[in-house]
Amino acid sequence: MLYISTALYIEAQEFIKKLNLKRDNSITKFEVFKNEDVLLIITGVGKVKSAVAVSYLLSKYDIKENDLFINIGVCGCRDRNVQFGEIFICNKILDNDTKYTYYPDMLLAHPFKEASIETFSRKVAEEEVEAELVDMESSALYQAASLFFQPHQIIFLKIVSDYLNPDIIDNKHIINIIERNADSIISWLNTLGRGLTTNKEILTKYEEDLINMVAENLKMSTTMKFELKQLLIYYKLVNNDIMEVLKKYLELECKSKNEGKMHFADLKNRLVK
Amino acid sequence: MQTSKIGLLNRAFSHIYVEKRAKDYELTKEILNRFKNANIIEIDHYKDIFCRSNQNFVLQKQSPKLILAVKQNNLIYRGADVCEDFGNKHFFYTSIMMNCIYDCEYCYLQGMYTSANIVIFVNIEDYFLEVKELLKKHPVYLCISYDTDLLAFERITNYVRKWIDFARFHKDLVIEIRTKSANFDSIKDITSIENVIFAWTLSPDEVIKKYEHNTPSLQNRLNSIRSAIDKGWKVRLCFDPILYIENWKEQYEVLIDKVFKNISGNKIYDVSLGLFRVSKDYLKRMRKQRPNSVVLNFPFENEGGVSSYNQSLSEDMIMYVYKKVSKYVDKEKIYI
Repeated sequence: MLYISTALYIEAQEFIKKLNLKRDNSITKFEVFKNEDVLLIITGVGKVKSAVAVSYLLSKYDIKENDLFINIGVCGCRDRNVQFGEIFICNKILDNDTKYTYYPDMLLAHPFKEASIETFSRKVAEEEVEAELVDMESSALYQAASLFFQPHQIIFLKIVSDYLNPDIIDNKHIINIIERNADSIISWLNTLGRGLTTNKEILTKYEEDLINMVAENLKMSTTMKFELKQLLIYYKLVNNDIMEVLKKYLELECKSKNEGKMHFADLKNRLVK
Repeated sequence: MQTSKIGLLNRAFSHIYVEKRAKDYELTKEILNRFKNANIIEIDHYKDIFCRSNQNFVLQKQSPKLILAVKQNNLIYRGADVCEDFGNKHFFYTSIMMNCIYDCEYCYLQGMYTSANIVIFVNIEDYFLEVKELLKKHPVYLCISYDTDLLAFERITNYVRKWIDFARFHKDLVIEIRTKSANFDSIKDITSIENVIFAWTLSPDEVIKKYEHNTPSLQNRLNSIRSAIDKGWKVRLCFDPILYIENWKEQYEVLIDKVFKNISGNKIYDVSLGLFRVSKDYLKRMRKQRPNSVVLNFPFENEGGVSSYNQSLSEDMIMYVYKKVSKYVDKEKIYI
């Protein structure tokens, strides 16, 4: 699942249209749009609003290792050689209030330029800015998203809209620069996410239940049960099946812990020869 | 087992993080010059990147970044108990780099570090100063390539060359350079000295193929070893960690026979044997990083906080390898 946040509806509308996202009416506190693969939330402007909204949304879901969080939004830029509408992925996020710095893990390949971004709580003058880009949400969003995602799953994609003078830009300008870039962003997003899986549960739920049953039959302590589970994980990785070896113990009922220990010793020998 | 799509991730060293205070070091400039297309990101302290919580070690191994930093304080450590001291009273080690380009599935570093990114401390002169201070008190036996593989990185850092140059003028210092690299060529022009030992870790071909990802083949390592011996260097062979794998007896027999078919046993300085062993806490983290790893999921026994094979299996394995090696090398040269 791709979790997208934007501060404003006008930053989201092109993606809502192109990705065919539908309003999730079960959520009333924020505007949330979704399809099967994408969830998009409009957070509102500023650090507090954006962090609250993203925390609210993400805490409702079980985040998986191939899920991604992407903040898409317009930003200011110090460098007047950068064109309006140019896209950047942020590799460093400074919080101007706290002076803390955050670093998304730059594992994913992308076709865009990279830059640092500084998050301010107010309008800024050029001489105050340390980073290349400026916005009002990134540092807070990073902190909120970090509770749910690993640092490589958190992405900040910023589109330059002004040279630190946001007052002169209007909605039409924002819609225009996002429209111009939406296709290239979406085509990159389509390449992401699915390949990030590194972990896999070894034992199925059914196998876990069987292990619990055997542990009960053999009157095992918690430590012994833990040991049995580790033995069976190893056995399954080597032999790809634990049913055969467990079968005998599923119907066994030990009368005492000592009897259970004897059977466990026998089972251990069968598992690690 | 990893299912990440190649091409989805950035290439290795796509990003180089540079501490502000490391910027003006010569090595920093050389490395940045070498990786001209990398994104350079200025940082205050290497731990801001290296010690972030919740990093994905396994994915980072597929797209490692470089971190250039200046190490301050605690540059030289006393040797840990789980490490063989080869009878040296003043046994120390140092980590002028952290992590390496190889990706060994059993590597303890994935339990020790929160990141797979590679840190290079660029202030080697400060390390030399601290060793000089120690040498005023007593001789020093120093392992310089424990938490990394310096020789594998030689073309980027020249650190092996620099340490050897340093050792050449400090006869009370003995340096061990542990490696799996086949990169002896990068230092073949250096005249050998008595107080440097190259220690090559050797494993059966199948272990290399299955568990020592990105490392040179056994034959390539042996070729490097032969070159080192021919140039007069002291070479230690490390059959460590010895792993419990299918047909382990046959695998280790083939390995040992192959090694000594290529290298005469009497030309070896010494041999070190060690079973896979790791701190219980590290193992827990390692299993979390690689839940599918057969080699890490063996049901080890825990003794005094160290996880390893049970006593009877341990004895079987170590004695078997010891006997095989002792066919080729004097027993007094074999350390267990």
